[in-house]
Amino acid sequence: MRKKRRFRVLLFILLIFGVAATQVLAKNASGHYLDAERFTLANGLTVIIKSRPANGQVMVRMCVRAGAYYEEDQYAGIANFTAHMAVNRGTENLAPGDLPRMVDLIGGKQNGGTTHDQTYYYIQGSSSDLSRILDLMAEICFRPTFAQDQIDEERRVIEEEILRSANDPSRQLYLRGLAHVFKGTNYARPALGTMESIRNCDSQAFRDFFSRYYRPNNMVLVLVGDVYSEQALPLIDSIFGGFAPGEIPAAVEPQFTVPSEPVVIKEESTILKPGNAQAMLMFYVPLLSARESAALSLLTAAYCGGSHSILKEAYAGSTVINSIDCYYYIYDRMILFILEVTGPADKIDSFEGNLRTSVNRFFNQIEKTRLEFAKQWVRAGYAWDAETLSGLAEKLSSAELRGDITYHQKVLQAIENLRAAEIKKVAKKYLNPNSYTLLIQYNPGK
Amino acid sequence: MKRLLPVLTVLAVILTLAIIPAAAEVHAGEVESYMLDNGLKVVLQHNDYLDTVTVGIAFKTGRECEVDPQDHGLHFWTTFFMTAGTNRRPYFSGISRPIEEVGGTFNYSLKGSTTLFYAKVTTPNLYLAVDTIGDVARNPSFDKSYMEYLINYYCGDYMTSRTKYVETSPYIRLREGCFGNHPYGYDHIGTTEALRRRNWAYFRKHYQKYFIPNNAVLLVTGNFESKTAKKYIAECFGSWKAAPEPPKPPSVEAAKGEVNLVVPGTGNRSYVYLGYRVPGIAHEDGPALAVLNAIWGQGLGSHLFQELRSQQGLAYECSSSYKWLDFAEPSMLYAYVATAPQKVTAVQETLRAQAERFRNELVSDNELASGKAKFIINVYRAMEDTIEQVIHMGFFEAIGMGYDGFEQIAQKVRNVTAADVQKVAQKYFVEPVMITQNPK
Repeated sequence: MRKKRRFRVLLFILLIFGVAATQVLAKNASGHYLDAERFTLANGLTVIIKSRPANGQVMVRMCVRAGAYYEEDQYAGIANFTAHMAVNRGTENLAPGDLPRMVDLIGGKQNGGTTHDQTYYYIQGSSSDLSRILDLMAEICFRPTFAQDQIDEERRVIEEEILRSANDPSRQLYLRGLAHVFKGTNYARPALGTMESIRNCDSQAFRDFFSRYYRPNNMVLVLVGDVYSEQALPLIDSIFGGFAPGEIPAAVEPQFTVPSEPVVIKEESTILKPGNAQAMLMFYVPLLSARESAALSLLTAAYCGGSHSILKEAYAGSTVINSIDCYYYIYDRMILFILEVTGPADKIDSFEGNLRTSVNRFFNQIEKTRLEFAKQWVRAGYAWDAETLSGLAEKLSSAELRGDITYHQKVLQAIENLRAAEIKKVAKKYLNPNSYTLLIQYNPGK
Repeated sequence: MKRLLPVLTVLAVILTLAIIPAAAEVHAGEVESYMLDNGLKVVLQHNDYLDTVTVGIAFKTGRECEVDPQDHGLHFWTTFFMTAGTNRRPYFSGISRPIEEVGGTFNYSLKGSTTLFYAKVTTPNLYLAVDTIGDVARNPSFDKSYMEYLINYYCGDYMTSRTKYVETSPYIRLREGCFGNHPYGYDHIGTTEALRRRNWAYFRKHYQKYFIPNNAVLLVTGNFESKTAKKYIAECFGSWKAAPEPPKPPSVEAAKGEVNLVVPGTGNRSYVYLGYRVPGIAHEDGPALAVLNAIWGQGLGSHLFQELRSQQGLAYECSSSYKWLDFAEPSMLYAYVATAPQKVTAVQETLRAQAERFRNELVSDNELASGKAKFIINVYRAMEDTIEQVIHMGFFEAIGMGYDGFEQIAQKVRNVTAADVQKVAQKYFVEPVMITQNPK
């Protein structure tokens, strides 16, 4: 009997420490800081909650699958314009200008953005104001009023936004690249629209776009910080649960055309500093699995991650190439891989050769030490992003919009055992040195 | 059963030994502070939900020591040359490369009264960060031939293009207009003549005078084990010898008088800056100025955003800034707008009218509440990043308020009244400095 009791006590202690050990191990697992809880309300709204110490702060981010891709041609820019209207130009319960003032009153920070794939809004403030923050988010996402006089006033701000973009040489080069690489699809046009298309956007156009896409079953709500699901979820349900879901129109799936030979476009630019030139060599890449995506991450880290990476060292001290970088953007339907250089305007004839040489270098096997450094670089990049509430919220929402909340953790796990041969294979499969689009802009002035 | 019991006992002991150290560790948000025998203050701030750690050393010295115009740029170049290599890590790459190869970052930051070197790494690389910072702080090589090469190099195209940039940068002209002959008024890298005049020994002498342990604070923030960090710190900093306290620089007054200047630019945008000379955050008027700045131009509910952007459609980009972190004493506060050239006059008039309104009218209760909340939360938000944590803590240490100086400021901000805001506007929104950049 005594033995049996001793055994039970020992087993109990073992169980306790086993649980604690599991927690310690979990804490140290790759991407542990991305662990989050996921829920779905009855109306289809996806809710993701990530609790972590944050000095009493909470970040609330709402993503709507309503970006520029979903616009009709004549109303290009309406997704971005809708976001402006929703925040600044009045809702069913708030006069124009009141919503930002109310966010300010609680010391919140608010902003958002529109891409081709989504429109997102965020408010960061004190956790004690969570109920207020969620109320304001509901106003933005479900109750804007789109009065015509307010549309006309906000249009002036959009026009300023378009002019600002027109004055940014990197942005212009990128947009012209999109227009060529994604020709024939809705990704080819700028997310801000044009001066002409935003003039077409009237009250009815806004209402149509809004009612089509601003539905809870087309949205993802992310909360990060000093917030707990036991308290937050019932509150979210009480505020958002009453909004009716709707049928979201199926998007036209784009047909991407990969050029059979290089497409090279050279243009003068008066917004670049005189004597300067800039070039982007772009590849269309289809959507990748987490493992192939991890391989692409390691490729860019090894070749352009930090001043001691392969390409940056290769061009340090070059008189032809001042800077070189490679990176990629993941869209909902494809990836855009970019190799970018800057240099003197009188050397643009050598840009293409140097870029092609750099692409060919991607097909070399990355040496072991470099690969290890690339892995550390990518891990650190994720860890850096996870420091801030906004970085964490962005990571969680992008994973969910990709259809898998654990996407980034899978990428981090894949990085642990990816080999140089696999990275080389991914590079050869998707970065064809005979099939790219190259945009060069230069200012020949002195 | 007889054999099982001892096995289970051993397992339990092993697990206990694994868990107890973690359980005994200091946890999220906790701060430890102590001093080494050489006078180096150490501050450890724990955030164990992260996978990162930043190690920074903040020296309580800045451009204020460049009172003699011949010394302009001295502080910047001394700091820069400290990163040009140590006895164990030759050249810039010897310092930065090992850090970058683990995905980390090494850099320095020159804020008002503070010179900070920092290294940010993932947690397993703590020792590398501590050792690197220790090495840069204690053993910069000031290698004669390399420094002479660097001085010669930078005195060429770099300084030429820098001079051209300074001539047309509206922000730098704003700074000149606000600070005048104060060291803050000059370009922090000085001039080609000043750089050519000096040799490597001059910079090394400046380093030996100001960059000493008893004039510094070491900050570690992020996820790390306290005992391990203390061991590394003792190893890397313990034998560093104290030196005589450096002299305090004499105070220099900022500029006086109204300024209205137009500079040429490129592209198709105009930029308008309206600035005022104000004291720093530690001054008794600092908290009220912080609140005024938040009301004027921080956030979508601010005066600038609502009136200039939403109501009048004069700009997409507009904000205000109180530069207390960059300029400790004196400081400056300004509004900034990017606009179309044809709207410049309207922007200038609106900015002046808004500044005048602060002088003539009390802000509303709602504006006051939001100004206070915004300032406090904006700084908390900035400090989510461990690099910003060491920058802020280092700054407050350097100005004598201690690593938690911001908490003291936050408390004062909470007590600011509408009358305080009007009072500081009446006192400091005089003699405006307006700089406009128009495209050629």
